[in-house]
Amino acid sequence: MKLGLLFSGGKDSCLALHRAVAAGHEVACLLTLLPERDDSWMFHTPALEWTALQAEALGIAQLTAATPGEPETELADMQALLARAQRKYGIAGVVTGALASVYQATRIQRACADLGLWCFNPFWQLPQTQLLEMLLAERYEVVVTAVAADGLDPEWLGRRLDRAAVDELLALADRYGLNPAGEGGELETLVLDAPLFRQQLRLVETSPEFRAGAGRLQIRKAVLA
Amino acid sequence: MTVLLVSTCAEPLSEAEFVAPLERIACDAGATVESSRLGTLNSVPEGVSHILLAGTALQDDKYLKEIGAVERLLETGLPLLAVCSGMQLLAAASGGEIIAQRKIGMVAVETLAENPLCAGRFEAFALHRHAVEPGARLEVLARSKACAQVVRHRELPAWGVLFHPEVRNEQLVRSFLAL
Repeated sequence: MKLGLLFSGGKDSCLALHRAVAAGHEVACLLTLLPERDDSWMFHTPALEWTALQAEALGIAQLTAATPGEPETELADMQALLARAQRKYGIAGVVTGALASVYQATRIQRACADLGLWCFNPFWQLPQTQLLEMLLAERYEVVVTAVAADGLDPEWLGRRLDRAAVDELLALADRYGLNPAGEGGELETLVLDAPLFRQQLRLVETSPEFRAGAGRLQIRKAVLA
Repeated sequence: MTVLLVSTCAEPLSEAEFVAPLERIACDAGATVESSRLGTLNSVPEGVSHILLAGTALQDDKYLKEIGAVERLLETGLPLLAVCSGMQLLAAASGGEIIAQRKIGMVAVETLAENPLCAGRFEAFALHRHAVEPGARLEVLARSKACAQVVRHRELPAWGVLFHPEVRNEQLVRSFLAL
């Protein structure tokens, strides 16, 4: 089936891409909403401008749409983006990296159903620990681009999710009750390299910004290598 | 306990979403799980103690042709829990009807009759384009405003759940496996 991937550039959407392709589907386009607000209700925002570079690394076309980021207009904006992908690429379905958010899943399922699109969520209800283990087993190169939780101090910005980092996240999950894969918005990620990437991203110039217990990695320059 | 977990999915990629979560709940409950697909299921393996019939994607309607396979599952007399598309097939195989009705999202469910799977009022995750008219052989145990949500066969140990218990109502699956 020809599919569009809801793509934020983070670990979940990159893993979902890989699952869809492994199941024999063609991912014809990456679909990225660019919220104009920082605190989007549904879509992960940091580092989104670098998804274009990831699309290039993957060799997959990308469709983007700006959204003011209000809860309900965001949904209409997503549906319009899916409809564009349907017209332009003839997609029959959508694949997402949704794990546990009923709020997010409900809205994506409705948008797809209204358009007659299949909706695939291969990590739905997957324990977050297993998702982190998949990243390690499949040698994803993932960098933390935003944090917002007790226990995640400024040193986490720009940190690679390697074995030690994953173990620390699991320990913090035990201690503070945070979601180890950031399902509650505790952390956001950017994938620099993954099995389907033809080239990898390299971050050339970054600066961490941290205040009031939350922070993000400003990426000023990145290149393909 | 050995659970036969039967997929109703036409697309294998949907199984990660609708079958795997039930498998995790069964494994966590200490069950050995044997997986199968409704369309290719010829017989129930020896030693199976419970059958779980899983749901599928909203756009998927191929399962609607598999009523005969569910009749064969019922003939085994084994405890059966049929989720969403599975419950629709259970109703069709038990003299009820499948009707068009879309619901996506959380719904309020009210228990009507005391039973071992659910109690009181609770919220549940619905994801369906069809619901059921249960017919005389199924008793409605719980319902939402719009339709029957939990049913039990009057003569057989077969249960149907229209919502997805693997999302926020895992206890219902564990209670079934404890029967």
